Amino acid sequence: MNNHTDLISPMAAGQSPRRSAPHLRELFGEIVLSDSMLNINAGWGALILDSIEAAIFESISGSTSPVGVSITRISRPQIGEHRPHEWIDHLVADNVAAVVVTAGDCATCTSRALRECILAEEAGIPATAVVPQGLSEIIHATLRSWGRPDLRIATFETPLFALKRDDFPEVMQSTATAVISILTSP
Amino acid sequence: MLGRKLGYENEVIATLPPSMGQATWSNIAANAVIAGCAPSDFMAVVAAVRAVAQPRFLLDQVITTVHGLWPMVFLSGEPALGPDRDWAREGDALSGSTGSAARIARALSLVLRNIAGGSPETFDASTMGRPGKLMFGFAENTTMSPWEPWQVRAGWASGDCIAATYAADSTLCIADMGHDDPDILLSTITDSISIPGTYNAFFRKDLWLLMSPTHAWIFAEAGWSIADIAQAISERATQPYGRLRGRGLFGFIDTHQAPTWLRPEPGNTDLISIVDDPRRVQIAVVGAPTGGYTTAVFGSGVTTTEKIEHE
Repeated sequence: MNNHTDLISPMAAGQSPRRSAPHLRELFGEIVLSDSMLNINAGWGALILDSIEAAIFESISGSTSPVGVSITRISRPQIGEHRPHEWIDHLVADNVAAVVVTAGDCATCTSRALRECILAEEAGIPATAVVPQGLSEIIHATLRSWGRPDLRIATFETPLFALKRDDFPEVMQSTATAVISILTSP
Repeated sequence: MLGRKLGYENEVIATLPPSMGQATWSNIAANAVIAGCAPSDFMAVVAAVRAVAQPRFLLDQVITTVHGLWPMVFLSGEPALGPDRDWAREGDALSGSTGSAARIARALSLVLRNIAGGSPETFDASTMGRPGKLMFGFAENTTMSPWEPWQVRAGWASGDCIAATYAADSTLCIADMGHDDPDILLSTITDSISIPGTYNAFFRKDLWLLMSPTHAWIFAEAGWSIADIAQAISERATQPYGRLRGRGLFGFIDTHQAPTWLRPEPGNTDLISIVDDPRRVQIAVVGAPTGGYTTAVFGSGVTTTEKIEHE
């Protein structure tokens, strides 16, 4: 028998947990960096990815791994019809090692980026999203509703509209470091 | 409220993103009761839920966006008349002060808030929201319209009642009185809606124009059809790209992100229409016969429709 809360809002019942992907023991193979945001200023998503890419190459600079790392950067505006399963299937077919999806001050992009990461993890691909801390309500709602409240994500504190181009390397440094840590630590 | 659906109350009507909550006869009815619906409103609420659940409505985008988009509910057709079937077709039609249209829209809003996750505490990240988000529902004034009912123009049978939903932004009331010249009236409308900051200016999808009977008859008596008006809106509600470049949502455009229809070069002098096809212009006659007004409902995306089934 439902209580009244469940009757009005079945969200109260919660969602089934989803599987997580194993972390990478070290960075290797093809890592997909996706700028999937509508930028508050044109090009801001690319600047976030610049910081992450730089952090990845810095972290492997002393590596002796024979496999190596390749970066694939893509731009996918998150407005319009959303078909995350198709994209994840494509990543699986390409044997992608890990995926990072950025979202800016756009809440739809944030929610969709998180869903993509959850689905990628369920498909066995380590994934994380770079999303604004200012959208914490929608971040938590998405992770909870999609069964991965434990998904580790990297956030940035400052809304992008407040940043100038020259600010990005410094502001995103800790965020980029967090991305590496999320992908490579248990 | 459930009526003949008792016994089927847990049947899933739609799964609603972004929370992927399951809307059933039972929980839709519960939210309809909270909205103050009469039992005779219930199937219209269900139709509206089904309409926003259509994938092309992009409900997750509508709910999660920082913009103030929220579904508008438009009712078209001829329900059996009676005290409980008054959709409030005439005076103050858009305000929700009378009739069942506002209750139906309010019920849909509660369903989206409680089942789909559309509250500020969860998925609704709207920066400012907008007036009308709690309820924005109205019906066509078929009695005073010079044209075929909207639902017939949308491909439904003349005897059908339908609920249409559209991801609406704020409205703009356009006053134009003191003459009966359709060209002047059209110019007032097109000049008023050709502004850079709307989502329509960038996405160029559906645009709703709600005409008072007075405005509708100015066009009709001059021999203008709905298609004529829509074509004229499409051709004249334009802005040069030089005026839009870098403004409104056009500020998003960079080398990676430009609509396929746009040449984003600085020297581009193309005129950008508010719609990408005249059929995007949705025109309905709404309100009382006195007063010359057209209300533009800006928004994003397409209009979805569902038939209101009999219980």
